[in-house]
Amino acid sequence: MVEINTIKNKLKRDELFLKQKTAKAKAKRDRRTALKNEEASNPEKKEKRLAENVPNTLENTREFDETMVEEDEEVAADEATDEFAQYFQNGMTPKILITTSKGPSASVYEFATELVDIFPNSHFVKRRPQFEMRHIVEFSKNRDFTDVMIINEDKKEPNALTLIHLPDGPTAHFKLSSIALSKEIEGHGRTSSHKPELILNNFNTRLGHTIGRMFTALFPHVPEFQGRQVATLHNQRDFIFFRRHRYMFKNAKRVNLQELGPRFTLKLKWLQKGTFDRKGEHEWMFKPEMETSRRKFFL
Amino acid sequence: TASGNFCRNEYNATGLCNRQSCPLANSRYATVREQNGIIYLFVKTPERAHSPAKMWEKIKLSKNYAQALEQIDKELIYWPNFNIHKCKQRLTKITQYLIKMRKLKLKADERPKLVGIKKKIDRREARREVKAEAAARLDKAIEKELLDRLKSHAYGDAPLNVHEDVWKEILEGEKGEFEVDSDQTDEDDSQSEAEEDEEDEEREFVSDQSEDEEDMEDMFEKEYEHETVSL
Repeated sequence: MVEINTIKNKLKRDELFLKQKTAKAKAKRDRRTALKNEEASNPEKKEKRLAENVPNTLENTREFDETMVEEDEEVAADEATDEFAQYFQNGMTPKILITTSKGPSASVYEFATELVDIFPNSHFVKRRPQFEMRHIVEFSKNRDFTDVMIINEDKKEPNALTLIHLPDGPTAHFKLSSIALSKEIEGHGRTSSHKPELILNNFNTRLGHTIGRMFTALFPHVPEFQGRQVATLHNQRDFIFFRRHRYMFKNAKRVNLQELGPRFTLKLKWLQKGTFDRKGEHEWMFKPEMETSRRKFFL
Repeated sequence: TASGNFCRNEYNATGLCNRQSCPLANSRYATVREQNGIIYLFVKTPERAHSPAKMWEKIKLSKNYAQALEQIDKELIYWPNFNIHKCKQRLTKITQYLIKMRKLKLKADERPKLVGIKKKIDRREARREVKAEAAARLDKAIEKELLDRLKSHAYGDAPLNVHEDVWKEILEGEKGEFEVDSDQTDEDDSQSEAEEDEEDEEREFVSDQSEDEEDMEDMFEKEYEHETVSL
């Protein structure tokens, strides 16, 4: 067979190349169908093949993080005495205050109403221009709130969420993105007032644990299972995806999910130990220079 | 508003470029400027025109506005009214804006902190978010978690969130596994018995009389006696 790139005639060269290309594709197809038929009769071969060829993903090849938690006694002891111990041990019900930055626009109000729907026992308060963050924190402490959520906006869209746990709880600031309100979701369901179940995925490091516990403390302790509502906060590569579904077990292997309520994505920007203090130091702060490696994640 | 040519020289008292207010064109000139919040009167006289390094005399003005005005009058006595007037105007303006700056600094905490938009970072994060969402496979993850919870009996023995038939199906599935497990446990028992036999072999029953040298000697003596008797 003559080497295709030595043929000077373009028409002839193209023809031969096309032939070669179709031959290659055919060979690949035949190999794959043969494999498929073999594995249809012999599923162990498929399992063996899959076990041998595990692809490298970013999660597989994640850089070693010494703060990863796995059944640590020290961590358990720490968590028994941290700011959320009240919630986890005494079963304190959360009471959440939701407010906005000064001079909000319509989309922020819409998002705030959705948030009020998500968290049972939450209240929305319009932001008065004379009150600063420290005043808000003070007022909520006086009225026995357990958390304050402040929606920040930019260019008429909500873009950040500050979550302050009271009293003297940690303050976390997240960047909000990809907000889809329930009316924008196709085939969305109607929420009921049942207390939802919680799913928290992939909060593995110490920092992730703190944030995970922070989210847990927003929801009531005992979910009402007959409502079949579940709220999910799934961490993937430092992005926390929030979803709400109504589920139904179809059989022992499949679950049907109907999406309710809004969906949005959070990315942690910084974490402060006490309540909000503009000049205070940050326990963790995101800086773009931390992101030099594609395989390094913090949560 | 009236506009004109602007002068770029820092010592210009009015800011406009004309013969009367040009610091280069006049050998006798005065301005008021501030450095680090302190207001000075700068005076230029023809006597020092030959040494450019020492041309401007820098006089610190009083922090008190009224006293500063008097200072200007005193320093620029017998000067043309234009220069004095413009200097006083500048002094007024500068003190006013310094007061404003100080007031703003006190309220800086309460003002929203402006953060720059970093386009590159935003673009990068948006792209990564899309990829992370694809990698997350949220629906599958949620389904898996719910099924795991159901199968691990986290919802109790008669859960409210499952249909009866489905729950029965799961329970039967478990029983089947349990039977398989119990077969395996029988095998385990026989294995453990075998192990126990081996352990028995490792163990012996030993008397509590210790074997000392004295006893050994007694035994030998007894044997000797026997022999003599038989003979």
